[in-house]
Amino acid sequence: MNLKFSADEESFRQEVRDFIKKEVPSDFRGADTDCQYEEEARDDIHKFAAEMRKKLAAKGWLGMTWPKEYGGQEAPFMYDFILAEELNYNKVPGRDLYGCSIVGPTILRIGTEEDKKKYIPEITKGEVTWSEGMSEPEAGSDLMSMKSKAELKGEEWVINGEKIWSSGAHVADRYLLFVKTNPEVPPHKGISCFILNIKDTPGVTMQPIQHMDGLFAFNSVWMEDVKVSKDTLFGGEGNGFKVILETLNFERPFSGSVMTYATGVLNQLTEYCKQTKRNGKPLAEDQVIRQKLADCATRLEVGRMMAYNVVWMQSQGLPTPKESNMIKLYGIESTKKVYDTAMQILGPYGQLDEESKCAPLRGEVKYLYMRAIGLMSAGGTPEIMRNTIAGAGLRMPRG
Amino acid sequence: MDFQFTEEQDMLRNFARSFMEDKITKEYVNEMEKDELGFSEDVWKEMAEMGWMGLVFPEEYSGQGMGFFELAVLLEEMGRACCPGPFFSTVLCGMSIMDAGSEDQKKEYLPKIGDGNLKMALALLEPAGTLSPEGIGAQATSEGDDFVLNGTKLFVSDANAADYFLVAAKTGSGITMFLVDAKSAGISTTMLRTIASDKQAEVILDNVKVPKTNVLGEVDKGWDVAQKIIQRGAIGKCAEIIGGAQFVLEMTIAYSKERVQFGKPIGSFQAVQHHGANMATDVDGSKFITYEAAWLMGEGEPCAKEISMAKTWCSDAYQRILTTAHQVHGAIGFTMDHDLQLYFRRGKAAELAFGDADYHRELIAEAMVI
Repeated sequence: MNLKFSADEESFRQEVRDFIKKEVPSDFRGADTDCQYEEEARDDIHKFAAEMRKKLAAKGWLGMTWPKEYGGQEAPFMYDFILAEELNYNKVPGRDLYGCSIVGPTILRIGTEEDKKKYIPEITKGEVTWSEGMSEPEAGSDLMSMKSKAELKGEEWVINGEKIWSSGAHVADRYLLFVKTNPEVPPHKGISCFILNIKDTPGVTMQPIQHMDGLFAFNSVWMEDVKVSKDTLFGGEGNGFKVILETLNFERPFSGSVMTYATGVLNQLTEYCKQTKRNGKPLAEDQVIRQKLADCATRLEVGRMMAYNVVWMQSQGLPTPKESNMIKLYGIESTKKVYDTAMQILGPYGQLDEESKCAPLRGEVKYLYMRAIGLMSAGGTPEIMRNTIAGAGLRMPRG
Repeated sequence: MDFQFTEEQDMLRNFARSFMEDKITKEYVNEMEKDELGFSEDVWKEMAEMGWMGLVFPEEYSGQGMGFFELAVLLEEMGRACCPGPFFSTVLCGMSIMDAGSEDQKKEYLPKIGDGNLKMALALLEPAGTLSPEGIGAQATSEGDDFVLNGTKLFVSDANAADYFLVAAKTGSGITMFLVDAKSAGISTTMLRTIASDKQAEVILDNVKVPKTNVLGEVDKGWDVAQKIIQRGAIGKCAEIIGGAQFVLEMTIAYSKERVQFGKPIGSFQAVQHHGANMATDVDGSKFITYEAAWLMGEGEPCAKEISMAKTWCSDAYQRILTTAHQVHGAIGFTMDHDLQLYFRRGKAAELAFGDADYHRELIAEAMVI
């Protein structure tokens, strides 16, 4: 048992901090590193993210835990999480969540040698970003009921259907797409996974969807007679469900790093409470506010330790059906609690966005408060998380 | 970062668990609630023979030389089993002697504690109920070679079994800690009837003479000693809580598989599954924050904030876990015959000991804003 970071791990963390200090302008307003929300709001942020991606790649930090033969550094598992934490805390974009944390590890675990050679190096070089095509208008939590299909016609697969909530699809290069390839068998056996070059594939159209906070990150993606070669099939025909499980398994601990973003916000909020007076007294001296700040700090610290445990377990090759889902659930709910608390403490000022006069904390709390609602459902609703913890984790009986 | 328990820790845990399953049965626990002493001296002796009382004392004082984290592992198993008796009180006081005692005091008390021949109780809280120097009203006045103590202490755990009390009293410009022989003239103990049916007492000190050689640490500087006790106490309680919480979770999941209603095990209903998931998440969160604090404490690292975070979290989380467990169990869990009530009642006592969630949240806020 050793619950402190080693000297090497601390030294790496400091290296990342130094890198951020050097490469990120001190007046950079920050961008959500996970879902590219801010990127859609401003072209300059999107451009900056692309630049940062190249710089991170030059440091060898994209896919850093992966085998050297595919462009990785074979760094210890925890290093990647430390990197994600620091980038999140400082709101620095560039590390493509989908490529680095979801698709990349999945390809390395269950892809063929050809898949690995084809898709991994370009992630480590920062040349591509990824998006996923899973949910459909009629298939959300009930993903298995998806209707998009691919039919084999000669030497090509022909894909027809519609996907929704594909984050960042309109700027992505690669698309991990799940469609039905066999309607005759039970759903979890009849789904296959394809990897598309989404920018260049005829028949693919998309539309960004604006969400409650006014930004655009999700997309509807339509596929009309999209013809793809057989080698775009990933994981083998009918193994789409297995691929889905792999991607979700890897994604979930990184929801833990979402909490680091909230830690940054909490620190800013605490500072605000020290500086701001209400009724002649700093907010930080108010008993109720002190309790709320302490509660938020505690929630995030608890989550931090839970997240490290998941990362550690995965580094040991231990299965984490309970823990992965738990950290996603906990991460989102505790993050929401922090943003809700921030909104409460800021009072009427919390309503204001950065374009407004008098907006505290650069108006970010308004977005975060709403973003938390979106994050709740992304990658699995809290109800589905709980179902999975209960079923796969605790082995409770099936309904 | 490494979450693997050491071989020594695993061995201690496994051994402690077998011992508890064998000796600290639920029949025993229920019986001891009604027993005047509250624990079996035979069981106490067995624990001593295994070296548990002196687990963290240095070997030169007949201890095992293990660390605080190992003690936490043991306390977790005790919490799982609802193990009654003055183990925690005794060891807590013993650790203060280990820290702040003179060489003579360490030689005098530690081996006796380690052998199971000396039991101790902490007399800190008073009717004011606050865990702060301002909450100490008991006075100690210097008279020749003695101090004379007057005051009232409340919620003194294991006062009935104690051979010695560790008492906090006001002296001159500060607080001083005293080792007080429980058989001293002027001490009267009244047992309180509590939710957990544990042995807590009011202890009145009426002109109790304590030799000056029984001052623990420095005169007027005793609050530092007391603060360390509160911190260790808080983490020790968290360790007990996570042991209990894990057992409650297991009990609840098991019940949800056996209990059939509407033709199905109730664990197949989504609402009940969600209860299970929530409980499991609370158990894990409580475990990891407790391990973090206990580990830092064992390493001698500063950890005041982590301790308060652990106590805050475990205090609140255990309440959620217990309430949800009761919901899943329905009426049967509410009966005295069922085991769940043992945990529910002890859960509240644990929450309240060594600072509740609000108290510790204030300490966290202090650490954050000052």
